[in-house]
Amino acid sequence: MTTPLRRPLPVIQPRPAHGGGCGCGSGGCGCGSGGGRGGGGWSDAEAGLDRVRRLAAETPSPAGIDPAEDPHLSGFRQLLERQVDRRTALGSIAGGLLAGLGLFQTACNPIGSAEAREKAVLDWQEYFQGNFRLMTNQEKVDTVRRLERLHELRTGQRVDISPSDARPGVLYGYAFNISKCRGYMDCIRGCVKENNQDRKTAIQYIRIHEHQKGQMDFGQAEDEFFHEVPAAGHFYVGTQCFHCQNPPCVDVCPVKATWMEPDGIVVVDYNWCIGCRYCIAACPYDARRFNWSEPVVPADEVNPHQHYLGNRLRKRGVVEKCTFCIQRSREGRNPACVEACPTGARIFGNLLDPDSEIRWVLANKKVFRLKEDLGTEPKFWYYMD
Amino acid sequence: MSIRGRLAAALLALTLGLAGCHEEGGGHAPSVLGLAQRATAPNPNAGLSSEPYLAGAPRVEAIGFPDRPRFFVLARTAVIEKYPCSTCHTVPLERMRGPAGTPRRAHWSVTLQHAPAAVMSCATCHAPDAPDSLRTLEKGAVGFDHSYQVCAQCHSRQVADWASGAHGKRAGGWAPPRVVYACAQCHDPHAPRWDTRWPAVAETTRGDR
Repeated sequence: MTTPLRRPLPVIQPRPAHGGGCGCGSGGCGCGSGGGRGGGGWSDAEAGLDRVRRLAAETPSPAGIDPAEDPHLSGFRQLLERQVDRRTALGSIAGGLLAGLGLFQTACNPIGSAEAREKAVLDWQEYFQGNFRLMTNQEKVDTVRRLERLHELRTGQRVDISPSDARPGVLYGYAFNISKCRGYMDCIRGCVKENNQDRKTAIQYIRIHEHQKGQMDFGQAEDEFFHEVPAAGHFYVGTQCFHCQNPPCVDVCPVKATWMEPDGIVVVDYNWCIGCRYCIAACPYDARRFNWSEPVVPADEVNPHQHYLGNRLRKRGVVEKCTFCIQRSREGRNPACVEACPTGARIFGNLLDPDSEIRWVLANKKVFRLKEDLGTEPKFWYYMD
Repeated sequence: MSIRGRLAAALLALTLGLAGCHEEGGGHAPSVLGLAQRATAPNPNAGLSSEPYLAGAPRVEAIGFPDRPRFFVLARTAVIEKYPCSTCHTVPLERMRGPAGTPRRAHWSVTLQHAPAAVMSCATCHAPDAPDSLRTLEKGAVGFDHSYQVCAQCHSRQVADWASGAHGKRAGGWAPPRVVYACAQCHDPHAPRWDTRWPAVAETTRGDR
């Protein structure tokens, strides 16, 4: 047990103000000698770390000129050349170590229940989970099994999370008939039910914009109407993620937590997302949503048929969006909005199949896309009768 | 190889490399339409099928669209409750009817609100002497499963869109086979106009703000 901590921590010069320095300053500190003290083990290690933490909490002494304040250096250089005194550095290291130690200790705790231990182990593994795109097939399967088990341990509920890959020969496309939409919003209800969106902040991927006939200005459109529909003299245009072939949201992600799959679906790895919301700022179509609080989905409303990149339950602080119902579309089904629409205003299909409905619409109807001049190449077209 | 030869080869390689770079990194992404049209996948739908989601729904192959890929229409006779009509309509209509002015004995819910009376009556689509099928304006018999052929006589533009997927709704999923709802499953043929109604949910754009 002492092996990982055997190496003595760096020696800190004792400061007179501290009454001759702490135990850590005397070479092999308490943390490293747990084994030699009759198996003090974790408590010794913790005591040592606690001392380190107390040290770090003290105000650091000014160490010469701080390059961070040198106006002649660029911001980047200032950051690079900032003098971090040893205590601060040590404090940061110790903080991270303590957090990991806590998690590890729960996992190894022989007293807690078997389930609590299993959960701690799985939590630990999830904490160190890699980027989904870089995983082998086996790792993907292991990952979703772990998430399924974790959900079961947390809620007692079983879910089925698929890690399925894109199929070759498929590129999804969507078309929306603005002559047919009547603003019923069955699509939104179907979408929320299917995709386990947070009920508390009422996240909705689809927006239905009510436009006055004779113009299509999204600034003038009514986005939160609630009256009998269709209203006289108005028409309705739905927007959601357009799954751009050249997606700006993907370009800006600093951690590559969002990408376009080979079948054209733009997805988010909720475990990799750091919640910086650059993608929300970059999207020209208001397609992405953010979980500001821990998402709430009543247990009896959870859709257990899930996909890792789709409707599995999200966490606080991650971005989500329409995935063309990846858990459905990759099995040959239509997205929930298409299935829920009673007017037939929504069609979905394979752009690579020359016999598909969507290809006929693109070839024979007058179609347009929003903000085409941006070059984002949305795979979501509007057409009319 | 002489120095000059080597130089020429290097120059050529550099030019080719730059041209390649230009094509790859050029400002504009390839048009997704072009991508779709150039695709030559032998099996474009990856072997996926809608059959599991159709759950064996009774269907008939649509007739009369030779320039369209094969598609199917959900069968109507299988779901019309009292079909075949001849179980009740055993005698000519005149003899089933009560005296003028008496209440109707059946079909209470049917009021024709489809076209002006000058254009349309029951007998425009129904054959009084052959109740088990519909009929065209030229008195041709059309089975209830192919009722779209009756609709197509006036609504040809809508039916052309429907046959190709731009109008109407598909059953099952996006994968083949293509099975669509019949006209009369969304539009009541006796009163085809859709009503206004309340939206299914209250839309909110505040959720994530």
